[in-house]
Amino acid sequence: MVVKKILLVDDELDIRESVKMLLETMNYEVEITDDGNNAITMLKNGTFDLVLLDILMPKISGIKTLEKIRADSKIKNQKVVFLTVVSPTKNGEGIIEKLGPLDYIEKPIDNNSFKEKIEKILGSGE
Amino acid sequence: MKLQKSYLELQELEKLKSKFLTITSHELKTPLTPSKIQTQMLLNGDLGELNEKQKKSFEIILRNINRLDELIGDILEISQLEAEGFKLKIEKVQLKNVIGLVVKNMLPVAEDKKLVLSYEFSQTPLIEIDKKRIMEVVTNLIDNAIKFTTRGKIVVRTQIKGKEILASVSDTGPGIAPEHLGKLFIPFSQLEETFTREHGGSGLGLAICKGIVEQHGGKIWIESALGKGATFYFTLPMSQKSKKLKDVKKKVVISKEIKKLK
Repeated sequence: MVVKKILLVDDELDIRESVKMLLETMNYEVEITDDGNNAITMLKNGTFDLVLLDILMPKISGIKTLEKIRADSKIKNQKVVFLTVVSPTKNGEGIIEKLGPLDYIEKPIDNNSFKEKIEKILGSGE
Repeated sequence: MKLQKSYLELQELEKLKSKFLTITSHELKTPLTPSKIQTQMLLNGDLGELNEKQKKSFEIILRNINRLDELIGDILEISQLEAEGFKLKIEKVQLKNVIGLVVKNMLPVAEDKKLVLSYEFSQTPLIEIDKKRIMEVVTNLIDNAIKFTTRGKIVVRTQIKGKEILASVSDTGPGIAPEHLGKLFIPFSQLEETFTREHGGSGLGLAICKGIVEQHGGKIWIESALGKGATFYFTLPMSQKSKKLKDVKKKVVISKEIKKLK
């Protein structure tokens, strides 16, 4: 069985470490970065089954990052889930519809429902 | 003139306070996130088996992380409410179904305390409300009633009164002394009262309920006496069409306090 690969983008070290540990208990392969632009480079150079994307980040926001992903023909169909303390709907109307993240998960997360959501996304439509 | 100046200053101060609360709440959620993930992993045995004492210890930690999380959530909600008011998502729904669903969800909580929870209604009108928000209000009122009632029953009722719906949640709890009634809907009031602190919660629930109901153009109040139980009432207009958009955005919680100064 091929191991599914997830790219985790969050500027907080402890959140990155913790979510990575959690995803690894689910047997996913996880790569991490703290910056949206860096994430885009990684996406262009590799294949990821899913991107978990924070919204509030210092250099480039998760919203801007996803806009860039959707505008790039090579990676525009990338599966993305927001992982955020702020509901993306509070960043303006229609973000979800326009940018098409598969879901958004609010931090602090509940491990069980987080696992369920990720498994549902990565287990379906393959 | 002087009064007008202090009115404006107070308005500025309120805005600043809300902004401050919103930002700090977000900042508080960040360190809570890894703490919660790690504690849940420990409890789940993801990082190795725990003995009973360790398990109990992490359960206490997790419970308090969750409490902090809820408290921050409430602070965020109330500060947003004060800053700009909720944006309601109005839809036409069958009132009976909305309230019925909340009652159904809360049944296990009531049964845990061996309390009877029931819903009485005579008509089944269609009503224009933000379903999620009104469910939040009713959940909160029932939850409060359960929290403060040790035996007896909790009855939810809805009826049509003219162009409005009158809803109520009655309990057979200890009731509330007259001197405390006025403070109930003021944010954080519970924190000042040692007599209710043991019941947990942030003391923001009722302030949030008040905000949501007033945003719909309704009113919320309580009738109670010591030893006589308590009944929370709220009204909701059946239709939102008659309301002007301006009304919807007004600052609901602090507006009355500020108006007094004018």
